[in-house]
Amino acid sequence: MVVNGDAKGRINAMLYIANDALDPAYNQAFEACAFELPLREDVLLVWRNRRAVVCGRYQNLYQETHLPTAAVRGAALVRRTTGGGCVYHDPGNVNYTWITDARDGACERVLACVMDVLRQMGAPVEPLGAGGIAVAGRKVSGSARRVANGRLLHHGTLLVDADLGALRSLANGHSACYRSRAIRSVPAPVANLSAWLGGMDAATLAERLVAAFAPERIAPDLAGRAEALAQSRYRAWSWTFGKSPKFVFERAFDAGGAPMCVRYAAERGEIRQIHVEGEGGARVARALNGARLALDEVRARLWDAIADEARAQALLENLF
Amino acid sequence: MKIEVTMPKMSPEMRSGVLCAWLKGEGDRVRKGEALFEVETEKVVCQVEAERDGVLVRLLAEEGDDMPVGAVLAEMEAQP
Repeated sequence: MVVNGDAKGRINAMLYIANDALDPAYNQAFEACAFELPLREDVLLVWRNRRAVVCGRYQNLYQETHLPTAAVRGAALVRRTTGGGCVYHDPGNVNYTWITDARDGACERVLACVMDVLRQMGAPVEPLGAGGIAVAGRKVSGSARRVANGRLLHHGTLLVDADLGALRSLANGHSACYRSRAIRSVPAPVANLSAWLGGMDAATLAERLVAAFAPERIAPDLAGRAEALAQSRYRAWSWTFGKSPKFVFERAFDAGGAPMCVRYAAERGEIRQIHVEGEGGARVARALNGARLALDEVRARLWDAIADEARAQALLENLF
Repeated sequence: MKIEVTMPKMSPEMRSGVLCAWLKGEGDRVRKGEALFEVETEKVVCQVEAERDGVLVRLLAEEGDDMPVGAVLAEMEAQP
């Protein structure tokens, strides 16, 4: 068994809990349940998600990803409990979670261990700062952390053979239209590890990562609790969207040949005040005032207020 | 006895942190070890716990404020 010591020579044994689910909300909940286990050892999870955009605890999800595009791309939207920025997941991306005691240098130790394994596999990785890992100057991994009750949850992404086109398309191109005090993401050029690992796929890298740490496998019964937490928190609109800090949005655009300008203030994911300039602006503002900023609700209200479907669609695209 | 709740230094490099959320409000009774607020710095969200039993008298920082290490965030009336 590999043990992971700190600078003072204290060592923690490592336990591994398998989770083959691909459901992003369930997997966040599974990780949260693992974090709450009363264990003194280090705990490793290695897992993957179907396509998803995962934002940091205190981010404005609306600013980070464009809701209409996420719907077209079939991306689940999830809010996690760690800090940091927004990341893209799909089955070509491997996530690792490392739970350990919250001591000085714990995060650096975890990152060094992960980089060692990647180097042993053949990828010339280098630290990127702020918990990132790069190959040839391009980011292949980001990480974020949460500290509670003396324990650290450190998790990170590893782009192996992810759809980088989808990743790029899901960043919100309208992010400059938002004003808030939310934590912002720091965009970086990205790359997949696969090309540096002889075409290795994500499932293989996940297996190799676990094998490299040779942890003791345990199988606590987390499924029931994780499903309940996924339902009550990670699939709940009030968590994923409602926890976005209050913000102001302003955007001028062309709506089917007519110039329009929309300004609104939102709190807990609801439009609190809205002003719309341009043809039919007052009617649009009345229709949207108080609306929950969910795609279905905004679409239904717009389609009721505007007869011209092309204009309604243009408005929908430009309200997020 | 009045005591000050300050922005903790969570790593040797930390200069400031964003007070992201109060988990207790003015007038709330808190027990030592109970989570008081959450801070984010360098991609870490850290739950900060009360160091004493007492009553949270006054909040001096708002959610979203970026506060230097050591800055006073709240006043507590400590209870023996």
